[in-house]
Order: sequence, then C-alpha cells, then structure tokens
Amino acid sequence: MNERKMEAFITGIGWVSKESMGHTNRIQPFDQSTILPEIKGKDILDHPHKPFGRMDSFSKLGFAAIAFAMNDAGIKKDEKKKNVSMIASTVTGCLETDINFQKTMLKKLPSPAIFAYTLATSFLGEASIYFGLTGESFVINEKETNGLKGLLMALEIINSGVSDIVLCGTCNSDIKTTNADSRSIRPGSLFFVIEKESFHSYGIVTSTLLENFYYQKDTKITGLYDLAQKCSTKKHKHYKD
Amino acid sequence: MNTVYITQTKAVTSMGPDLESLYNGLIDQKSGIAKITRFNTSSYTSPWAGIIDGLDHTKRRSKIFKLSDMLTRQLCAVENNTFLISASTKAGIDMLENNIQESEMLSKDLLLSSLTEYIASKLKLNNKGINIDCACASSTIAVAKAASLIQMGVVDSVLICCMDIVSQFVFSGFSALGAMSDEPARPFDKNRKGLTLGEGAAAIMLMNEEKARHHGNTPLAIITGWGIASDAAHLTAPAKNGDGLKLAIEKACKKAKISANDIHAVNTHGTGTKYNDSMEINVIRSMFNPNKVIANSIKGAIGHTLGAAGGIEIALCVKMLEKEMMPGTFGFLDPEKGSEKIICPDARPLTGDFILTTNSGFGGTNAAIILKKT
Repeated sequence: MNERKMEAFITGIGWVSKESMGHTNRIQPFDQSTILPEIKGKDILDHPHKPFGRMDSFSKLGFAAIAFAMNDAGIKKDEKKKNVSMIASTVTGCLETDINFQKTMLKKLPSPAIFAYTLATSFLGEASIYFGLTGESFVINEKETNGLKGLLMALEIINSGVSDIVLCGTCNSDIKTTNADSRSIRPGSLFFVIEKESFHSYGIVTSTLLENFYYQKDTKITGLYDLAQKCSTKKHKHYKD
Repeated sequence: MNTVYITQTKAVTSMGPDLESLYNGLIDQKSGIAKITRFNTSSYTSPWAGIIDGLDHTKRRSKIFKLSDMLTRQLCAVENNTFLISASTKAGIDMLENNIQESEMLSKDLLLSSLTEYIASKLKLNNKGINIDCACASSTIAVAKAASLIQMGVVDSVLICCMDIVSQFVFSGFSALGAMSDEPARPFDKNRKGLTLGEGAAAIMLMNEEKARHHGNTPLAIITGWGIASDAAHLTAPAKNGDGLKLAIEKACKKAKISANDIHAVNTHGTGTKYNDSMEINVIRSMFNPNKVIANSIKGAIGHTLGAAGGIEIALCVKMLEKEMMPGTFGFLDPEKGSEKIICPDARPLTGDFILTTNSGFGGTNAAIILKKT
C-alpha cells in the first residue's frame, strides 16, 4: 500500500468550553466553570438569526464553535454559496436532546420541534443554511475522544480536491454513560478551519495513514485539543517553501 | 489512483434474511410492509412498517445488535486489518425507554459508537472503526468516504456495515412531523401521502485491486464515482430546485469521468413524500435523457430504512448490474406528472454499464454513487 501523505493549513479555531468561548482574538471567559454556558445568538453572531433560538443545546454548542472558527478565519457570511465541507466528531452525539424528545413522547405529545434535532448532524445543517455551505457534511461517532479520524477525513476532502476549505471539529454534551471512556470526554465544542492554501495560518497539519498526525510536519499530535494547544501561539504568517 | 472494487454485498430486510430474498421479492413485486405489533401505534398517523422477523425477541440489549448478528454472520472471511465504517442514524435508541431516569447512568448502547465497537469485536478486527451519521444518506456517504480512502491509498480495504431499526422513538417523531403515510408508501405515485418506515441492514466490502486479487475475490462491481453535497436551504425539507442533489450527481459523474448521458438507470431515494419525489423527478428529467433513463424506488416494498437505506440500495444495485434487470416500484400505480416514462412500475431490463444510486436526508444532505459492471 502506498503511504499517502496529506496536508493542509489551519486558518481558524473556535471553541466553547466550561471555562470560555470564542476564538484566539476574542475570548469570552466565564465566572462559573462547572457547567457549559447557555449560548445566546448575540454572543456569537453579528446579525440576529432567529433559528438559533429554537436549536437544541447540542446544536447551539456545535454551531457556536463553527461560527467562531469561521470568524477567526475571516470567512464572512454573504449571499454567495460556498464549497466548504464540514465534519464533526462526537462521542455523546445529541443524546441529551434524545432524552428530551423521549420525555415528550412518554407524555403522548411527541414534539416535532425537538425531533428535528435528534440527529447529531442537525447543527451542520443549520451551519450550512446560515453560511451557505454546499460541500460535504457528516458526523463521525467513535469511541476514541481525540477526533483524529475526522481530521483524516478533512484532509482527504482537501487533498482529493473536493473542497479547498473544511470545517473540522468535535462536539460533546456534558452527559455520562456506562462507557468506560466517558470520563475522558471533554464537554464542549472545538472547530478548526483548514484550507488547501494560505499565507496566513496557525501552521500545517499533516497525516500519514490512519494513525499518524503532525503539526508543522514533525510535532506529533494526539488529538484535536492537543492540536489547538499547539496552535495557541499567535497566528503567524506562513510562507511556503 | 486505485480502482475501488466491491467484493461482497449482504443484506437483511423485511423482505427476507439475505440480499437474494430482497432482489427476488422485488422482482416478484412482493412487499415486506405489514402492520406493526412491536408497539402500540394507535396514537400515530400510521400502523405500517417494514419489520424484520426475529428481532422482537431481543429484550436485554438493543435490537440493533441482533440485527448486526444477522448481517455479519453472512459475511465470508474478513481480514482483521480491514477498516470498519458503520453507518446508522439512531442505532440502539430503543434502549432509551429503559433509561429515561435522569439520575441513572445512561447505557453505552445508546452511543452510536457502541454499534461499531460491537461489529469490530464480533469480526475480530484490529481497529475500532468509525460510525458515519448523516441522516438518510449515512450509508451512501460511508461508501463514498470508504471509496475515497481506498482510491487515495490511505487504506486498502474497508467494510461498511449499515443498519437502523424501527423504534417507537423514531416512529413517533416522523408521525409528529406529519411525514408518514396512513397506507404503505407509494413512491412517485400521484396520490402518495408520505413515507413508511422500515428496518434493515447491509454490508459492503470494498478493496483495491491488489487486495482483491490477493484474496482471490472476484469483483462484483466497481465504484467509479461518488459525490456529496448540501442544499444549504432547509433543515427537514429538500431544496425544491434540487440543486444539492444535482451537485452531488455532477460530482459523481466528474469522478467517474462520464457524462449523465452514459447513465441509463437510477435507483432513487424515492421516499413517497410529496416534496422529495417531486424534487427527484425534476432532477432526473433535467439531468438525464427522459427517453433513455429508467428509475425505481424500493421504499414502497421495504420501507425507508433511514441510515441503512443507501447501503441496502447499493448492494441491490450490484445485483441489478449482475442480473441486468431493475425491479419495479411497489405502490406506484398512478404516475406523478413527469414520471410516467421514467419510473418502472415493474421489472425492466437494464441497459448500459452504469447505475446511479442517490439518497438525500435531513440537514439538506445529498449523496450519489455510480457503480460500473465488472
């Protein structure tokens, strides 16, 4: 088998955690850091967006990190549709929303409004509508919490020429299951904008085969949060060789 | 770039325990849809679904694991370094009824990754794999991503296992949305009233040429093209102009290096809802020669199997290419305007070397796969 090396530039990072949310140039810290914040549309978007209010909390979490990452990368919402793809990795998915729907079902009044968000992909659909993104979009569920398979798929999309820009990240609710690994799940969301070409980026991310991922070609990364930490120094100009 | 071969296809549906029973049942114009006895449907808009015999005996764990066993025991030898991609929208959601108390720790069966882990363990694979979830296009996208990883040389073989069950959770949701028909679904029929849910599973093994030859596998078909695109229009309804589906098909044709005129047969998503079927027939008419192309939908016979739909239909398309015959569309009695010459009411001979299969889903997602005869 050929060892195929794939690479791309990281141009934007956005997140929501118990401690803070935003992107590197606009961090909003929280006083209470034991629960995920209640996110409001005005916290993340420049213009009012009515549908945001009716989203479930999982969708708000994912949508917010995507909006922050897009802002950080300087990609604006406009009327033009864009060939941008999105991949989200998750362990918990929208289980919290499933429970809320199940409660309405048991009362014999299943809520169509909640049911529409019982797919973990719903927030990608919402982001695609809001930003006009027409590329690929899907969710990866895996036991591993590092999100690297999603990064692999993002690099595959860029290196196969499907899209030049991909939003790739992770989103998890604060919910516990009997899964032995559930303690290692980090509640919150983190998204990267990665691009085929850029002269202004956080650096290059590279993968070879399924398991090996590197930042700046030689620093091995163990997961998306590790990658964000490595990128957390000031965004610098990158000049291609 | 590697060629992507399909070397195994298996299925379990309400029509029977294997792919042969599905193909033969469809050719004979049989239906797997019946009134549900699994749960009380009196407060819902439909009593109908495509239910698999034998799943209802499962109590302690989700029915999805029993379905997985019914599928994977059909598989011929699977090498332990085969990369696994499962595709499911709600996997073990039937376990939620037992797990609703908030204070209780939730069962890990509720996580979609539990299905992937279960299959990997049963097949003794040395990777944990991933699940791809993208509504009703989940397994079509799983096959597309697997094909791309093989073509690019990232992996040399991928097993895709897709499945979803009929649960009261999902049933009540579609009922609440008003998307279900009170009679078995009638795709592309003028009097269609909505969809009928179904459960099912499919397994598709993909390999590069070297791997297929090494294992002495005779390729069943080649995946030559794939495309995925988003409507960016509405969360639960398809874009009326079908732009997302058109884009997915254009990408698939470009990848396959063929024009739309080279495609003579289309396996549609064909759910039986007003909007979906109108959108699809308009896309087919605008992209293909309506005097040359034939199309069908199998959802009137086995129901809409959600995340499994695309995989089941890809497996069936491989059978169609082999038998050079396209089954008809069960429930298609009075054609929707524009579908008369395109949608097959009964089995028709398949001409040409290619078949296109497409699926669309909530979130405005669309996926297309082009298969070629070997």
